[in-house]
Amino acid sequence: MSSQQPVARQSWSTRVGVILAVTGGAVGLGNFLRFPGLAARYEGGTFMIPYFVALFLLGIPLAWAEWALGRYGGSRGLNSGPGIFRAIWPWRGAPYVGALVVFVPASVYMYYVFLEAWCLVYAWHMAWGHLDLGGQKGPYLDFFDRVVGAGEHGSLFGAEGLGTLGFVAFCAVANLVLVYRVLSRGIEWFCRFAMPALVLCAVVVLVRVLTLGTPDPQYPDRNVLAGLGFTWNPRTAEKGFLESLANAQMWMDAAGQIFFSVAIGFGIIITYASYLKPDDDIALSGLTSCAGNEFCEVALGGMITIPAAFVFLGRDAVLASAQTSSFDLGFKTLPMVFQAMPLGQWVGTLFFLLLFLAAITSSVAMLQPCVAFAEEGLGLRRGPAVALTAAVTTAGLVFVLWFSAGQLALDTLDFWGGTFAIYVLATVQAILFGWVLGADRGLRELDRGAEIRIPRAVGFVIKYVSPAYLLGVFAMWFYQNLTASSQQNAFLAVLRVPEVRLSVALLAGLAALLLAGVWLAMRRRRLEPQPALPEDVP
Amino acid sequence: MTLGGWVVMLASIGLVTGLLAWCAVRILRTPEAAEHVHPPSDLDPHDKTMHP
Repeated sequence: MSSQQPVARQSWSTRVGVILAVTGGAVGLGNFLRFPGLAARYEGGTFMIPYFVALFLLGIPLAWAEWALGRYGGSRGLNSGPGIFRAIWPWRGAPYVGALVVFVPASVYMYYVFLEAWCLVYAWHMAWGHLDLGGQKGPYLDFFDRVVGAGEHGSLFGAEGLGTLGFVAFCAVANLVLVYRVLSRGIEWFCRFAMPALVLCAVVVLVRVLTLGTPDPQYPDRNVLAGLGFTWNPRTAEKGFLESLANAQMWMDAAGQIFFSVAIGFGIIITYASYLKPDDDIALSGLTSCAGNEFCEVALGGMITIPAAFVFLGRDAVLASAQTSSFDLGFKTLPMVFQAMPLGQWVGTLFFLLLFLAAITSSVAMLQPCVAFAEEGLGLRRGPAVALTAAVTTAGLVFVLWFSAGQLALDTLDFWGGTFAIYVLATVQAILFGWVLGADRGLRELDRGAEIRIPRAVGFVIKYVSPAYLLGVFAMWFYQNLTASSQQNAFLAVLRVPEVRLSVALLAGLAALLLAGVWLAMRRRRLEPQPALPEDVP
Repeated sequence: MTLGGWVVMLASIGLVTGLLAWCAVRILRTPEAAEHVHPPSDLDPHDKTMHP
């Protein structure tokens, strides 16, 4: 009995480690920065309805679909997006559609590394006490503008950039080294140890936010309860509940946020799942990953940043900030929270450092689909494959860094690459699972090695509901943009604003490059699926 | 904060916390979880050109 107890204890701690690793692996900047920005843009409460509808009709079912598609392709010897699509879909054009699996992470990576560097810059300056800027919001907003080069294009390359460029270079090199050394496994320690620390840190910050009261007596309406109301009330000051709910852009953004944070339509899950063993579980893994992610996003990210921003900045400033960018709010607000709490300097340093570590696990994962395609499709060894990926993504990163004024390049890439393209890829994957692979066959793939039994209705949801939902919202969004004024029109912005036009041209160039790569791979017959072993056939 | 706000907040946080707790219990009850349940970071994207 005594010999069994340590074994049982070890097994228990291993399982706790698995929970931390699975939930922690999904946490990133989307949870603590992007979600609060979007929720604030639509004033919270109403936004949560399309958000949860998207989670249950799109997020969780499509996460399962993506895991299944990846493992199906991997069991036929293919690990890149174009290859996996080729393995599932016999049509010769399938690998070209599969290029989206490489396009999305590459385009998001181009600005994600910049955001990652913001975390490091803030951790650094917080540690040195440079962010102890008093109780007024002005100095914090100025600091943020200098860090991100919001003043004018190219300012990050000058002396006033607070060294952001150096931090970005460090992040870019660290990402490439990690992906070159195949250290994604090595950084799983982060998920097991640093992730609980990040959550604990967030809980401490949450307690401080909820006990802020009314920090500035000059503005008695800026109190925590009003901030929570701003976050969660289902009707806004100007619009009724139903009027708010009829906004197609909000439904698209809610779905986009679910995709962004759960990493669906990102090319990451489908690529990594292709390396799974045939008897590995994908049902409970996928669900736990979604659940951990949602907990950090809704219960922590949503409860900290928006009420704090409301209290310190006021409603109008929060709305104005959220309209321009989804990522700003946390950086503009949280330093003020840290300044107002005991040991805030060190809690803040730790928080931004852990956020940086959470971000780097995501960005390394974004590089893997690109490297996998360069290896598989172009026949490169890992070194040249990483070098090619580095060359392409660094060109995009430098573009984002240069066009920093108003964050026009970053926001354009975030919309067309980080929302629109993700949306398209998620739709394609839903159709691939439900109609090409077939829902029944897909569910059998999901059931293999599964630790939970997925309800059969999920097959129906992925086959009919998810594509109809996605196409319906997309059609509404398209119609609203066609009829919108020029200031609010996403299509006209491409024609009207030179930086937006250039950013879209950058994405078009990336797409052209990938399509040429797929053409070359097809020509060299490098994407031919191998027959699956009998035990791999679902 | 309105009554509707309280309802939305408690329902949202309760939902995500409940879902995570359910998943955690399922993993804790699975003896072979460490071998079969994986996050993406746990997988090895091996170099196919080096290890054909």
